[in-house]
Amino acid sequence: MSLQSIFAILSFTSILVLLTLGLGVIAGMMRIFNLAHGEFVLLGAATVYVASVAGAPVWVGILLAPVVLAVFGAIVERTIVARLYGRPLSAILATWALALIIRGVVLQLLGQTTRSVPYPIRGSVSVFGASIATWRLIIVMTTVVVAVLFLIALYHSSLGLKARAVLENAELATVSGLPIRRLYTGVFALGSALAGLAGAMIVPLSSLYSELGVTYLVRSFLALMVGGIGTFEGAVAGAGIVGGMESASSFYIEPVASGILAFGVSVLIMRFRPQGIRGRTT
Amino acid sequence: MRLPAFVFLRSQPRRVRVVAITVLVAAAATVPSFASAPTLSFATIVLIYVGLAVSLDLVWGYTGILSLGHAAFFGLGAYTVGLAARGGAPPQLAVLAPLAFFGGIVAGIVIGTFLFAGRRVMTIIYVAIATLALSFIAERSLAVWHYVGASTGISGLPLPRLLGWRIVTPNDFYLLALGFAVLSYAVCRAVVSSPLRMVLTGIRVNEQRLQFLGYRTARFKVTVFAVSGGIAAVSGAIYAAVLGFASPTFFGIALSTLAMIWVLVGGPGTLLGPALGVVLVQYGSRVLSDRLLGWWQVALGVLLLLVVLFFRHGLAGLLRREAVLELPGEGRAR
Repeated sequence: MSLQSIFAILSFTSILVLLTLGLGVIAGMMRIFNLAHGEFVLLGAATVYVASVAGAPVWVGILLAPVVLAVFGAIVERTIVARLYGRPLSAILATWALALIIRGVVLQLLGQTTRSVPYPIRGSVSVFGASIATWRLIIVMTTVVVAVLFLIALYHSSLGLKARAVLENAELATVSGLPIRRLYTGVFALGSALAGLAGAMIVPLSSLYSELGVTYLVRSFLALMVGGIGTFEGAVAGAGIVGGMESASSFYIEPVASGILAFGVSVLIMRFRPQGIRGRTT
Repeated sequence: MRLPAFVFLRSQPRRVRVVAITVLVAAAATVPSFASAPTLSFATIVLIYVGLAVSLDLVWGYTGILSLGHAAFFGLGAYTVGLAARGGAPPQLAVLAPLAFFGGIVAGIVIGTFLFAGRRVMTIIYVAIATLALSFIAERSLAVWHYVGASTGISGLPLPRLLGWRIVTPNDFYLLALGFAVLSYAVCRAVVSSPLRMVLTGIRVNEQRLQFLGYRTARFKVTVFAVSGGIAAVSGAIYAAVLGFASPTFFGIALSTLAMIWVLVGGPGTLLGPALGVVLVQYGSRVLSDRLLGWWQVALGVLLLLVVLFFRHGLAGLLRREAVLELPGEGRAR
């Protein structure tokens, strides 16, 4: 396999890592499965598009997307999700309704067409003699940086300590005086920002259309369930397996078949290892 | 809401229900005599959807298993009819409908066994995501299968027959749909009027306790999933026969979502509620989609959000004596 294809696999997997981390931190801490996560990706992509139409350089849009989505996520948490803690099924349906709304609005504003956004950085760089599209390299590096920052924040900051305390035992954390509501809002905003960043980074590669989010939603959910909820390694491993399987097999079989393969195998893994590869047993 | 009329109605639930259904069916039977052609074809579709709605209510409303991909069974039934036509078989519904039912049952047993068998009880979240993924797989596979027209699907299916009855006019189609709706309601009602209902309710409320009592809950879940899948498949078969086409979108998440909205709007766990939910939502869709155009999709999302946040028991919630505080299956999700 050439180095180019390896980078294609890596960049696809990187996007999935960002999504799964966001989905996983929300699911792990608040037991909320955010079915609108895919539509947050779509909104991140839309932010870049809107910014570029408004005349701003693409990279400004890409920096802006996580910020916009963090604010949006905080609003969603306060208005909708906060009413649904302890009611996971209602939360699934409510976030799915939100997904329908966002997708519908984007479809109405965009129409059925796909819009493309130019690459913020063109050209390619040479890595071990193979030329790699610079943007793919940046996607992979950004993901690594974000993941490392995420780990550092989780294990070496007071905020991370509080987050882990809530993850471990929400009741105990509450009676110990942690501002659990604000932590929840913050974590939801963080997860949304990661989805927004992922959406912003894929839009130059795959262009903008209203169904963009749905495909990523199913993939990242499978990745989360395969890897296991509530751990960092689980989210990364799950994204690696699902994303790697789909993008690597697409070099050998038809893209549709590789999607089916990845989904099918993930459902099997989930069935026989419900806690995931590195999940917490709850 | 405590209106006096509701208090009276609540005191005689079974008798009220029988009277209500008789009146509804009698009223529905008179529709062809006054309805315009578009209204009649709209009513036909609504009645076919009733089968899908009550089948979802059986697994979700009564048993607490949320299937996010229930339309896959509907699509399976539709493609049974489509494949039969593609293979040159006569469009005999007396054969095709039982075949679709059987296909739905088999698919339900296979998927149900996969999801529910074994010592580990899968969480409702797992079942929801797995059914979603499976319906995605089904939709995508059909969208690339050229024998059945890939993503455009199969169209121009021949006019169906039921034994010697040639189903040709819109009137015939309507009567076929009405007959199917009544039959599917009756099957679901028979299931929930039997002692089986207690087991299903037990699974919904506290599955583990039922297991401690010695019930093999997995078998009951597989059974109800299979019966529901069979009914949904027949619904799809009749839909394809009436509309004359089948497409991969029949498997899709959009239809599954719509089915959940019908059940929620009508009130889960009541059968009659979801059946009326179809009428109400589809009527609203018909009236409003002309004015709102594509914004109707957004309005549907807003409706779902509002129902989940504020009216979790739908229309039927207005008739309930005791307040049921949770969506079906919510307890098991935790």
